Amino acid sequence: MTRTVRVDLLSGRVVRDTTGRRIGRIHDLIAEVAHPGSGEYVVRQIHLSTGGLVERLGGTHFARILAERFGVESNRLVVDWRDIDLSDPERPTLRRPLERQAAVSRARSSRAGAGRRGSG
Amino acid sequence: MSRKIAEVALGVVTGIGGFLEVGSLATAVQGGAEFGFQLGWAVLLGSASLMVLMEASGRLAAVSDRTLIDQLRERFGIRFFLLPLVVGFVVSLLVLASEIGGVSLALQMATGVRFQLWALPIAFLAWLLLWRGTFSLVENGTAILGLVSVVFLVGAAALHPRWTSVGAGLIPSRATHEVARYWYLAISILGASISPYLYAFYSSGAIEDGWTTEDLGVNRITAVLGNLFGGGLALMTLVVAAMVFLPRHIHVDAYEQTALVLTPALSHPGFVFFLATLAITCFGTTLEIALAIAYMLAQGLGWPWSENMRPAADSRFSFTYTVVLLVAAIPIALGVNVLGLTNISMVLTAASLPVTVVPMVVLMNDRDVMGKSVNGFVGNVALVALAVMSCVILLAAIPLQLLGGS
Amino acid sequence: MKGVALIHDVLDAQLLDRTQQKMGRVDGLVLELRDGEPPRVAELLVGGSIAAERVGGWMTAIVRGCCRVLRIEPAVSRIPFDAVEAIGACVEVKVDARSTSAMRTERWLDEHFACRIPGGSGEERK
Repeated sequence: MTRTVRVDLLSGRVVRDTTGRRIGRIHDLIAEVAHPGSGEYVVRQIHLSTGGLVERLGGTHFARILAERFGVESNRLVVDWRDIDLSDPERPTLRRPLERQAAVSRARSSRAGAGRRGSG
Repeated sequence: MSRKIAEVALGVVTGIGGFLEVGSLATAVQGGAEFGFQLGWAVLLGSASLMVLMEASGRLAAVSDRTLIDQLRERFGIRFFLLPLVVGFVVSLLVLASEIGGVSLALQMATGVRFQLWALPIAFLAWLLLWRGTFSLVENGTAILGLVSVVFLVGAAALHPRWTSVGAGLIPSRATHEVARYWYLAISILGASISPYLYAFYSSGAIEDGWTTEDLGVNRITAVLGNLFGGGLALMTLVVAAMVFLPRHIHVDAYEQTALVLTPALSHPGFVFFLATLAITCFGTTLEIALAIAYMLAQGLGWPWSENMRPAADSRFSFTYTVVLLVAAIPIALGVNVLGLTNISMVLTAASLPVTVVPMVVLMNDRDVMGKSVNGFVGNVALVALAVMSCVILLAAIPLQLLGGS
Repeated sequence: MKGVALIHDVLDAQLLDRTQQKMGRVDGLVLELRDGEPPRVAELLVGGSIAAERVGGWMTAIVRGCCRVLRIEPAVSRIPFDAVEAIGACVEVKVDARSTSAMRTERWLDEHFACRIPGGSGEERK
């Protein structure tokens, strides 16, 4: 049976680990071409934001952009697709407790992938 | 090069002719009538703020090839976007009704036919111009005809005010009497100058006119000079009202009283020019706001849009401005007090500023949006100061409406 | 196209069809979850009811209520992600907007409103 999940409903959701501890919020999902030449895109990474009050007030964009602009580091966690369970959009969960994450890396606030450019 | 000069000239003329409308006229006249030159600083602050916001929204459109509304939806998502959309829609609709009221009153004073009967014909004429006309026609037509408002400069000069006193009024001062009323009028003047539909319209206009990064200079000069001269005209309106109404202790309660403000300076032609100014500037603004509301919905929801397209090619867009003009005409046709409606909509406009100005602080610093044209230090100081001011106004608006509104 | 940030670059972006006509915004995005394989980006969703779900239950109720009053079904367009040609300032898809329900209201108003009024139709640019 095909299970589907809506990316738009995942956006901003709190992610917890198996112990129930809050890790952060879903900031973005990075997709790449599955195989060279195919038109199929698959999600490889999920970016979580782990910032404090401003982000919890829903200001992830504010926090990130002001951080980038003024050089303040905002906390970003990059999670491999294997390590997160997205089947319940209201309760995305890390498959392992945070300390045992081998694939987790703390990234400086920089976006992966091609961004939108000026003229279009 | 000559094309650039022509563009700048047109942009400046648009600013001059477009600055005055029912709200800025009403608030400047009431401000002058009740507090003399003292509220001059509010007019100055209003036009300086508009310069910053228009330059920013024009730059945003030229660099990112998308309007302010586009960016609000794309950067912040539908959930946040509903707030500026709904607030902007409701407030703009109220201002639109006031503008139709302004034209209706001008025609009542000119012809003796009651203003209620003019509302629907005016809405129809506005609709016809939008239906058949292009963006250039709307923009240039209203700009050039709006130059009639220069009569306020003539009137002010003819009254020989003490210009040093006018200058002193440009520095903020505390109210000498009726504190709540003073600040109420100050906020109304700010709301009349800094209307979100104005800079949202301006950024849509930048796209309609095909601006690119090469037009950043034109954008800057247009935004600054247009609002400098336009604000100057609003200031002259305040000066004239201060010279004419204050000494006679005339408290302006109805729009009809404002009609005689130019008569002492220019006798009967003053009356005629006032009516012409009221009718033309309000009508031009009617066209702008109807388009601005249609732009807001179309851009936010992704519909095809352009004033240069035949209505059938962007039917939701053209349907929106049609419905909006009709709905806005109804309160006027029913006889709602135009001055009262204008005052309330100016205060609400001022109170609604945070929902667009605060996100603009973010957008103008986002390198994905602005590339190399992100705000510099000065730009950020100005914009953040504006954002703070807009939040203060929001908090003060309701109490002041209750304490200081008439 | 290398890595694509789905929320930042695709969600809420303006959609352009094959003929470069605006056909709404990307209101939703569907992932297909597969055991042992990375989630596949399946389709783009366009529609007022989709956007409403992101806002909240109350908004969904309003949209559904309006549809009931007008006696229409909420229009949802599903565009397979492999129809996406380019992701930049806008998302361009190899689809003709007229073949989707994304332009249903637009077409209805075109027929019943704009074309019924003189000056409404004709050459696309004035």
